[in-house]
Amino acid sequence: MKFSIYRFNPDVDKKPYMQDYDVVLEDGDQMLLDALLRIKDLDDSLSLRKSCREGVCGSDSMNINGKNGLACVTKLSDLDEPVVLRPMPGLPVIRDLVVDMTQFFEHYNSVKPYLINHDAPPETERLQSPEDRAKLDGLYECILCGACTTSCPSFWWNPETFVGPAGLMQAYRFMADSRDQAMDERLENLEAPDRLYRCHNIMNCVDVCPKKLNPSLAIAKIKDLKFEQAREHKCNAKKHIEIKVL
Amino acid sequence: MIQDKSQVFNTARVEALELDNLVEVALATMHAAEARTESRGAHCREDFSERDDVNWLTHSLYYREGHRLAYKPVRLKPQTVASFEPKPRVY
Repeated sequence: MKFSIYRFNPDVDKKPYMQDYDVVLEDGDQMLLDALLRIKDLDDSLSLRKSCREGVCGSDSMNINGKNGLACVTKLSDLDEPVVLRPMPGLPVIRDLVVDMTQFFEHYNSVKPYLINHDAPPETERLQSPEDRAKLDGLYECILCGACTTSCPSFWWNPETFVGPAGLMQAYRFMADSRDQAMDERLENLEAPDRLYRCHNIMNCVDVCPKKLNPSLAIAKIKDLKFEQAREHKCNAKKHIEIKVL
Repeated sequence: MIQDKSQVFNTARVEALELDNLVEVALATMHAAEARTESRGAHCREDFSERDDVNWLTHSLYYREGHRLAYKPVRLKPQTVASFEPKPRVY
């Protein structure tokens, strides 16, 4: 099977280049990652991240024939040849298919992706009704592979400021959590014009997500919550003025 | 033989080091398991099919030099929660 793979090793290469491989697959090689490991057997200088090989760890996300995805859950039979593999766009390349995810995780950390609850810790777990728990479905499954954020033109344009689909969906994951108490703080955190509102529902994120999640919908829900919050503030401000007048 | 000599994200070297460690852990597992003449959880022997709390309620320690084994007791007195007696698990 024929492959064309982006190669760059800063130790020896001045510029990145595409290298062609023609690799003989064996019975049982079904996923793109299987083929990449065959190539790595022939040429150990090809660097890529991988770990769980079943779409759980999010390590082997890359640009596959122009579309971001995980090598381990991409079927070889679905790919046109030569299979063109590049690192995920929009992040600095460390080497070959490995990108520097620092900025991605900085944005992720910036939304405080953890439960904020000021009540004293109870003896047992903080409980939740099945209905409240169901509100987290489609949000908590994110594996932080970065496929969505690095396919997002808004992120390419404003990588320093726009939180990106992965980070914003995790922001909403905690806004939607009945046990969380930091709704106002979380909404305020996304107030700066470039952090949330650079999303224009381009929906590349939805198209590429290997876990079939919908960051665009989550972002729309944050915008709804922002609107509600603004309306409440306005009402409160109005009441305040009326009281003053009285 | 590793061809890749790069200092940058050299996964060939990382995997060689991992293999080194895997072999060592496999040796530790093999020697400790051979010495442990009982069955316990995932450690399941045909020649010693029963759990033996009298002789083997103990941690195995493995030393690389001479594949030496040592043992230390299992602490059964928790500091904050009630303890329960060790017994075979039957499902």
